[in-house]
Amino acid sequence: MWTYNFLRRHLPERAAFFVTAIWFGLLIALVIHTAFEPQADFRYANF
Amino acid sequence: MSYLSLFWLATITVVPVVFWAAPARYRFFVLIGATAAALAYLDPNSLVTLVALTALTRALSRGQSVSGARAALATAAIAAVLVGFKIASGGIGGDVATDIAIPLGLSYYALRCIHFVLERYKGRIEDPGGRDLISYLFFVPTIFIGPIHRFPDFSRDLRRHRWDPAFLAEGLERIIYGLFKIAFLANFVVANLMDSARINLGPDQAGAAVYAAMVGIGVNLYLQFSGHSDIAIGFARLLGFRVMENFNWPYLKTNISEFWRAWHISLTSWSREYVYTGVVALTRSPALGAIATLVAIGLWHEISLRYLIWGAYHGLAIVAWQRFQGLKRLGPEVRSTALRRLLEVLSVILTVHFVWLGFLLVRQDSLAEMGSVIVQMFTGGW
Repeated sequence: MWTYNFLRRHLPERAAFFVTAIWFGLLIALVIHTAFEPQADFRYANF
Repeated sequence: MSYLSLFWLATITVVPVVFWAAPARYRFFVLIGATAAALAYLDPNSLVTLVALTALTRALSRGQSVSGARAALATAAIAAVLVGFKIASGGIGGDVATDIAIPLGLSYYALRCIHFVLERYKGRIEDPGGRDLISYLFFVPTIFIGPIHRFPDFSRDLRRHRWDPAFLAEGLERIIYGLFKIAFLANFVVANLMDSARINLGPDQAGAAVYAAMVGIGVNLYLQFSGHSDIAIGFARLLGFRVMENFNWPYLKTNISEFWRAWHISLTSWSREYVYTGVVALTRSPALGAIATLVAIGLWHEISLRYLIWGAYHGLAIVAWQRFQGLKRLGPEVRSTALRRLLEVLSVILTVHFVWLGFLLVRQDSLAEMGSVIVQMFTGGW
């Protein structure tokens, strides 16, 4: 897992694990929260 | 089409579970079946078109080898289907009002078919049989929004297929980052917050408003598109396949040539291989090759004057950059590290603004409107 491996280079194993878990918990919460906001118009071109 | 929906959330959850639960020899049925079911649910007409294209590709590429005539016929037929639908569907802001919609994923699908036929013609791919070809073309993670992955990589992963828990971690991580880019960064931060900031600018700040819109479009586009690519790559990883990357920090590149090696990589590498080399082989002119490639990329997005201009804008910029490289060697060498860093930063800022301006211009319906937004940006007040 890229995020965990990245953090593991700078933090002890347990800290890296918890920071990874908190980070992804935060990301998922933000995604769920903002998914209900009005959506942008993704009309890059006529695909 | 957006991956940010309950339908895709369900698909990304269910398909890998069924895929790995199925006996190995039936897994390709899951891949093909999942795509066929998704297409049938979203747009049955698209399913019919893509099945017809698959049959055409298979019919003209089977056997020990593929002759030049057969490859040319197949490429022309596939390109004609793509171009025909693009013209018939009218395009965004086009003058033609039409009920014909371009089949889902056709733009990507056609390029994968052409890639397969031309690689068979060059003898780089043995005839894999219909089953592997259909599994490749009907690969559910990439069929709708790319990346335009290549058959040899897919075939290798299909042969080595076995479950590894790392697939789950890598795939889910990528999907979460993709959703985060689309839902939070693009749709919430950029589209909502930046747009409301732009709307709050006064009438005497029209230039700043155009600039803010340009930045918003450029950043939003990257986040949306790379987010969708992240989800496709993550979804493929959940199924044990490694799909090529589509973006490599394109907005941090120091020149337009580097930008095009980092933006929509699966399309630009396809174009380099099948358009650029062909044009250069015929004309012996790398400059013409670059312009033709970028114009083809523009028209692939949409067959319209504005995308033709957009393609030429980038093609000419690449040629100008290459010419400038030649001139730069004649000038004095920059020895100071600090000055070199400063020039690099300025190059990144200049390149990204050039690209964003292109995205702003291509959203205008006519040449007059393109001119008008540029004039407004510089003279409308900040």
